[in-house]
Amino acid sequence: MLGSFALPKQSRLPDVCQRLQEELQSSLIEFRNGLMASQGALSMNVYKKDNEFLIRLELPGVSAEDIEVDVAGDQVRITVERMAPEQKDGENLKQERPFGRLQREMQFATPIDTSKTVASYERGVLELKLVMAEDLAPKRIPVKPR
Amino acid sequence: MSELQKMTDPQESNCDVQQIPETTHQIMTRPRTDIRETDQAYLLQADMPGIDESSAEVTVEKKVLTIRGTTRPFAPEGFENVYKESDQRLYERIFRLPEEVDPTSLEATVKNGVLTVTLPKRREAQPVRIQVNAG
Repeated sequence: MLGSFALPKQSRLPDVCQRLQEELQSSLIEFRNGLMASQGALSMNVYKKDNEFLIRLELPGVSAEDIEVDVAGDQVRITVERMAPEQKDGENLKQERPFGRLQREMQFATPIDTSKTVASYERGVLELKLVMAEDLAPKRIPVKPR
Repeated sequence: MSELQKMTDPQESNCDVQQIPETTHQIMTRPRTDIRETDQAYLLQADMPGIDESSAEVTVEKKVLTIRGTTRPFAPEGFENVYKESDQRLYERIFRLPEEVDPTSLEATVKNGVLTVTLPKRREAQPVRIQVNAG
């Protein structure tokens, strides 16, 4: 029976229950996004490959110069000032879009290589590429027989 | 086989919820929108991050304005989504147009994920200033 410890943990729930769980989870996230959005924070997705991270943050209606990305050690801070459009004449009938200062901070397990960090802004989405510092990236140690 | 095992084993259950298709609905996002009225027009601005001019759609049918947009699916090669707050966005929002809007002269632009629709008012609905002359 020792071999069974090496197997990945398998859920005993049927697929339908798992899907229900996933749907509940995503609706909770949607709900929280709504709350966060009302406070000015917009949704973020993070993708990972080995020691590379891709962060996509929705930031509609700002210009690239207004986005500040600060990387220090294992921390990333994104600061944006979204200015309300100038009101010349007319009357506001509906105002739902958030304006003002937005800040989001992230902390990673290992320090980030600042020289390889790339940030781009297109179609209202900020894309941030982070590479973990090479010498601190997790390494697999080969085991040699003796 | 015990009762509990019967309940948790999908093969044994004769319940037909197994036949539910993978996705039964699409989650639509209702874009946050500002509307401003001036003497000449209504100005509508909607936050739709991820949208450009090719993926935004503005239609008017029988005094109903519909704005739609679908973002491109983002799946970088070899990357795994480790934290998710939003799926691929499918934006949709519907507005009823007031009588005074001229539906044939709408203008729409997209910049940095913000869709702007200008809805000019009919000429007869715009206020007219009349020059008062000395009698």
